[in-house]
Amino acid sequence: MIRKCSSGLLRLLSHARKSFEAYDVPESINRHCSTSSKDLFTLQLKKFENEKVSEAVSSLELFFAHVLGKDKLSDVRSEIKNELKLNSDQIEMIESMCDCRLSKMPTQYILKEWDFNDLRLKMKIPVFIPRPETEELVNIITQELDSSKEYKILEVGCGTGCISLSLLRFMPNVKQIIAIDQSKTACELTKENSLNLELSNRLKVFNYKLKDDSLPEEISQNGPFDVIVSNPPYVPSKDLLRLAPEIFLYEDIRALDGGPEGLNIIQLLLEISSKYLSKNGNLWMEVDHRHPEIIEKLVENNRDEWNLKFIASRKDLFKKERFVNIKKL
Amino acid sequence: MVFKYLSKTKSYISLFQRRNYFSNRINKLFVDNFDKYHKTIEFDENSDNYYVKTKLINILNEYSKLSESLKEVDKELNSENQTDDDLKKLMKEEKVELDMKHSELVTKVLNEIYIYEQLKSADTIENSSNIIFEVSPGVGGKEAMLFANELSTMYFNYFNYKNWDIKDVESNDRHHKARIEGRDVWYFMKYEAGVHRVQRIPDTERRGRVHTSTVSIACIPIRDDVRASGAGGQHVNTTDSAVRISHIPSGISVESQEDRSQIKNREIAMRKLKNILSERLITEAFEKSMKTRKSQVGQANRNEKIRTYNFKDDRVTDHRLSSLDIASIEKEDTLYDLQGLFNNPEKLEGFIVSLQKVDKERTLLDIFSELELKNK
Ligand SMILES: C[S@@+](CC[C@H](N)C(=O)[O-])C[C@H]1O[C@@H](n2cnc3c(N)ncnc32)[C@H](O)[C@@H]1O
Repeated sequence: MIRKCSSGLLRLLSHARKSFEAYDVPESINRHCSTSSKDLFTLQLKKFENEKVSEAVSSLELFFAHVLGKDKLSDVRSEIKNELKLNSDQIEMIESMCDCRLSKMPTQYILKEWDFNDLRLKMKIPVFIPRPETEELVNIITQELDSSKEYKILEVGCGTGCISLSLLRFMPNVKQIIAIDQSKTACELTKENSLNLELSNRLKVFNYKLKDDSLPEEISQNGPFDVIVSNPPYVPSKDLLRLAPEIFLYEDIRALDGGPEGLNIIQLLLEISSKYLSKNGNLWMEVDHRHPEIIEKLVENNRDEWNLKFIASRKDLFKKERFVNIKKL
Repeated sequence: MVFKYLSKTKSYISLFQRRNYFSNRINKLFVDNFDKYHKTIEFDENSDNYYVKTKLINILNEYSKLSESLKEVDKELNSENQTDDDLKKLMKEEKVELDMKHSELVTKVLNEIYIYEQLKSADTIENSSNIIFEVSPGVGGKEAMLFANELSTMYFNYFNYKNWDIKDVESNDRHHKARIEGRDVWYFMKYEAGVHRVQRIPDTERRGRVHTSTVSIACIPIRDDVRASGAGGQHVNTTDSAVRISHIPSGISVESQEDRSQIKNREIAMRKLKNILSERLITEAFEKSMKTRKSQVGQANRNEKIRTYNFKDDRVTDHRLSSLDIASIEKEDTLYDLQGLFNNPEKLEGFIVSLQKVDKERTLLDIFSELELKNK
């Protein structure tokens, strides 16, 4: 999939990168200059609205929260309402963050961090930004697993590491997780996040791209696995061009593109599961809401060859069929 | 074996009973006026109803065909020039079979009409709504508290039996409260709200007198609205995690956008809503919703007595099931096995299913009366 960018978009991008580097200055306190936060907020909001930046208010609130060191957005709102004065460093920082946002850079990349369940994770262009649905995937898995058993888990496509790291945090009985990703940046980010959260000792990360139904020796020797989990790329290729610029321009397209029907990696995952899951082991996947039905048929049709059974699909919090559970017989 | 046979005849009887009750009305409304009704359905442009619509039309067609054949067999049987005894016997057998099919079809037709008409009335609370469940002791002091405890245990067992999620539990002598989430929670729990009365001799009573105390149960349907739909998942990247939760009967709604996480915002909004919905508001909201809604069985007002648990006679009576007389279906209003009810969720479900049945039948009767009125 080749990305075609108009020159306008390219300009946006290079502009964004410049501002992105500029605001990353060491914090220092400058008490002389002061502007009201409310004025700055109103001014930037106008710019956002003129440029049709999506989620203008929530992006701005998050920038202010970040610069003011507040976690609760309600606190930030009241500070702005009370016209809290800002110093020049703070203003400069907010302004360059806003410049990035004007170039359609996703807020999470600008903040360089985002929350996933209880974890604060580092974000880095172009590694896929975790979605709220995936938080639910993790919650479902932790509910279904038996807290008195030990588990060996394989995650395919770890991205920021959000799934593996939450599982390690929530479940002390997880013995080991092997996380793989085709992107080197993603692997490094997962490792970095695991070190920051002190969750690195039960985690092994491999930079590997799944191509067929086999895994290389260095990975497979850690199996068989009790659980395989993945949020694989599942966007059908024809949908890619219609994605918001935030996603299309900045996120790794290989994290999204699932092939003609969005099922390419899903199909590989089924084959891998049939080979490397232990008996009664479970595969959990997040998928497109149109997929569960197709996957159920696929598993049914290949029953003899794969020895897998489609257990259930579950809805996400937006009431879309989103998660599938498949068992190895 | 005998028992099986008996229960089978019983269900046949009720099937015929229902047919006798409804078939004339169905004929008048839908078969005699088939073209007219067909047209009203045809012109219903709500595309959501497409499947329901076609299913209803198909089943009405099938019904009218079968009614025709039944009429023919009847005519043949009664005609004077029919003298061949063997042939007569054969035809009688055929008639029995057709009768059976016809009765079954009536049930199906009723079902489809119900579904179709329900879909048209948009103001019904979705059966799939989650609820806030609350048990509080009423009159009767300590004894009422004790019974509130026992009832809440019974319901929590039932929630587990239904595989529903029980969240934010608060439990003490004054009240028991939780949020229940899962499949069709409202559909099964809507009939349980109201006053439950207990009659028994408390352990502390020395003179052996029977005390009467009450416990009230509230089931409040809630709905959470999250970000507008679309493909979701990887197709969307959003930082706007606001969640709004509404209390359906009163329209009270709260929003949370405090946290970055949608899941957490949902929890926060839930907590806010529960604080707002004080006892008084709940009562008001219920009364308001009772006034606006049509005669729905079962969804009792907070002060309405719905069930009596009599320990001396070891029985539970559901007052709604006993007060309503509906000729077309059979129902049991009393259960003789209190311990069974407390220990076995299936017994409680028995009551609930009866209430659902009665409610449905009442709604059907309403639908028929309305349509008949329009037809005049
Ligand atoms: C949708 S992202 C999910 C990232 C993370 N697990 C999450 O839920 O936020 C998919 C990830 O799979 C990786 N990926 C895509 N194709 C792959 C392949 N064939 N083999 C290994 N990893 C792959 C991408 O680099 C990307 O990080």
